[in-house]
Amino acid sequence: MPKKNSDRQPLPLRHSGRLMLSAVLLLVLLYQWGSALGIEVKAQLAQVLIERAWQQKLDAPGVTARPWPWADTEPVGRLQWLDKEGRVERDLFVLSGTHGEALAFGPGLMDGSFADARVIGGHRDTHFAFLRDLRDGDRLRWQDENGHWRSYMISKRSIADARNNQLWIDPDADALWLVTCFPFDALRAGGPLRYVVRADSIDAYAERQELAGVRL
Amino acid sequence: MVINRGGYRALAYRLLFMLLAHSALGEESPGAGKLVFSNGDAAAHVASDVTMRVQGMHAEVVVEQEFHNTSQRWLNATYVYPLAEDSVVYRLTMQIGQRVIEGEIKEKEEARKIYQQAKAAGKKATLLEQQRPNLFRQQIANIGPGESIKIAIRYNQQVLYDSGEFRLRLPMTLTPRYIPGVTRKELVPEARLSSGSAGWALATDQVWDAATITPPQKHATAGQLLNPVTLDLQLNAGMELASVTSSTHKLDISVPEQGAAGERSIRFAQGQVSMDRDFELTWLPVASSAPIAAQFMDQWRGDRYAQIMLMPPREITPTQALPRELLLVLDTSGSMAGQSIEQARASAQLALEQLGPQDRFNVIFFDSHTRSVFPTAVSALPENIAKAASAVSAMRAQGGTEMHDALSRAFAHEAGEQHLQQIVFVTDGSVGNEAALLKLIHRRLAGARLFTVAIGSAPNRYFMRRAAEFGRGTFTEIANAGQVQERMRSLLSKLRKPVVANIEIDWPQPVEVFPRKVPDLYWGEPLLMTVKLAPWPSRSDQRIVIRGESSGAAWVRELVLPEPAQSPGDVDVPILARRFGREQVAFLEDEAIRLDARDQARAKILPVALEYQLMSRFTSLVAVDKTPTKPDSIPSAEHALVNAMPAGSTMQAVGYPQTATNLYWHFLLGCLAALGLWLLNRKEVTCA
Repeated sequence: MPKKNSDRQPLPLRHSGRLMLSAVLLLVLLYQWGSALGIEVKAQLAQVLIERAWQQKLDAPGVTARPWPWADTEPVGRLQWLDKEGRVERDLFVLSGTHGEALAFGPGLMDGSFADARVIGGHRDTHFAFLRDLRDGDRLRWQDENGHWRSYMISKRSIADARNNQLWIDPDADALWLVTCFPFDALRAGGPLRYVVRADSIDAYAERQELAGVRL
Repeated sequence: MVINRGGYRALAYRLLFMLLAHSALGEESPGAGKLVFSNGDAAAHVASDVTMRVQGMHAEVVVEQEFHNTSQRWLNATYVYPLAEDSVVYRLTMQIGQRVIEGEIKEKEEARKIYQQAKAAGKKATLLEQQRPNLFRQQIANIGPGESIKIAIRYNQQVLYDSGEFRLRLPMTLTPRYIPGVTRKELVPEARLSSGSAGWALATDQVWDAATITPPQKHATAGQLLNPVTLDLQLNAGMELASVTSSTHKLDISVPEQGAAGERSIRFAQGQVSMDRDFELTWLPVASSAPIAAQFMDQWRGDRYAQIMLMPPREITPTQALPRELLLVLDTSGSMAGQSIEQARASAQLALEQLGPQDRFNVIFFDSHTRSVFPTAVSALPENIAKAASAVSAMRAQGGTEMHDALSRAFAHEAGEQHLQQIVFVTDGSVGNEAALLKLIHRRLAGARLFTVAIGSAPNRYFMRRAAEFGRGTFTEIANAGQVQERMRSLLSKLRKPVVANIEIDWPQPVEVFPRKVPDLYWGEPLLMTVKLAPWPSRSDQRIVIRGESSGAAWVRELVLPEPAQSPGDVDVPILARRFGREQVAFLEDEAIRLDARDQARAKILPVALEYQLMSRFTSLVAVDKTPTKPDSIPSAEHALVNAMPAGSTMQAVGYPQTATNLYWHFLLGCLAALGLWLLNRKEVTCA
């Protein structure tokens, strides 16, 4: 096995090269996995802190309750996804604003002067990954700052292209709009497509029907 | 040292703070960006000048659009805009500086190919395609930085004559269409456009061309014109006029000095206005000169083309009308938000007020869901009416526009023998699945009658008028709150009973007439027919006889056909021939909807559209400049022109947030590094 013999005498230069490459690869690995872990950890752990701030806020509505002292956002609502039996499948605390600094920690409620409509953005790979499992007719619950819960039923799911598209909403309609990036398993961020889930208020229907004296 | 539970929690939170503060460092990649609005870029804008010549029952319209590229880049512009639903679009010219290039009617795919080649070669070119009979998509290729291109579109539109009043409506913008159905990833490549900018909706399983009918829209802001338009309208009514008014725009109306009676010159009082609402003009003849019948005749290639209008008797003897079952179907979707829902509410209240004790009724609301006030139709007792009225006053606009369910619910009501079933359908018609809905009406109508009421500043008139035709009822439009009373009253008097039923007409043979089956006429509606007659006038029989039943008695009218106007030659298609071609295309489209064969309609429609040189679903207008002007080395950007939101609508647009992190990407790169490490490591082991 002459070949193997020649290989048995590794050149010191190659050896150190390999070592260097290994070190670089290890660094890359640590950095990349670290980043990924950071995103995930941040997304999950922040929700714990936000929950605490939310409880404070419910106790004293109207008071700003920052989840951590230097946060530039605060919780404005609680969003739950209920399964058919009414069990809570997902429980999220929603922050104000849909800028990157808010979305890293939780879903964000879009700023805007909408009377009743709520547009909530969330990252498709962390908080809003569950949107892909939603189906028409599923129920969502929203708790506002006064502690009131409102129920919504999912009425439409669609894909939109953010390059030439805006989301048309009726600001006076009591509805939730959940927005996340699409496709769910795309590798890179920054794609143009959005997955939009619309849920219409069940209470509003009931209320209207009651006003009209109608059975649902 | 004793640490209570709270103390542990505080410690844990402090730990979390540290973790968060630390991890926040590596995060601010561009992927975690912020709210991006796609609307700020107004690289090109359009100003329009509309010239209309109204002669009797026809309006000849020229829309001149000037596209101006205000950016530093080369642009390809896409502009989606509405025209009248019965328009005969037949001419397009493109003006670049002093040069005028005449567009040609071509088969759709061929036109696309011509346009694409010109676009790729850097030539200026225009392609106009029909997406719906009242919605057109226009692309203009290679507009240089700072350049302007003028496009002139010429079409003919029918004047409506209803309840003693003549009416003309010029669409200016559209209400954002609701796109029902499910967007699926696998549909996306299929629906990809051949060229131009895509709209805001992606294809769904119900509306595969959604991207071509959903242009970007924004609200016109006060003090700033959005898509400015001027009007130059010459009205020649052909009869003495009692009034000329518009309920949508302030007008500057003058009587030409040497003009005949019934001539008017009309402009917008402000000169230029935003294209944020349809323009409606109405004129009323003085009572003594109100027309009873009108005939027009053209000759082309030996054939005679005629249009005949005949008024049914104005006074009807009141007879025992059948008690009726009135089903009010009200649109409460998001697009109705603002003034529209208020007009719908007022209209519905009026309809409820005039129910008689022998009538039955129900009220159905729809948006994403359908619900009705009563499970089935109930007697019009005061308490029932009060209950329905309170439901109507409580209704709010929100959600989608799922019309299919709502109409199905209405059709599911079974009226007894002794009741005449009437469905009054109040909506802006703002949907993208028109054909499917018309098919539903055709299949389920049975003995019922469908009356449509179009609401708002820019309703989908094509759908609303066709729905009324398929539903064998009438079409009413309400553009603003001021029209609710008058128009609803006229509709409610129509609801009582057709004035003339079972109409049959004796024509000199051979003949082709549209509509094929003459509908029953309701109060105030004229009989309007478009006819093609034999090449050689059969001198013996120049008259037609119309028979029908009115108030239980026979109603007979005779009309003498006029001599055709002298045709200037066979090159230009005269307007009545084009109108006939257009009616034939509309008939074939309707037929295809009834037979559920829209995809096979091409073989029948294409030859008609080509013969009469018309725009249709299968023919487009294309114009190409001869010499390339854009250098090959410079790319041109796609740009979508913005339409105005209809006035009075309170819908709002929001930009989409950036909603992904690079989690997977980081993970993948880490995996690659791990793989590399493993490979290196494995090699070392084998070497050792």
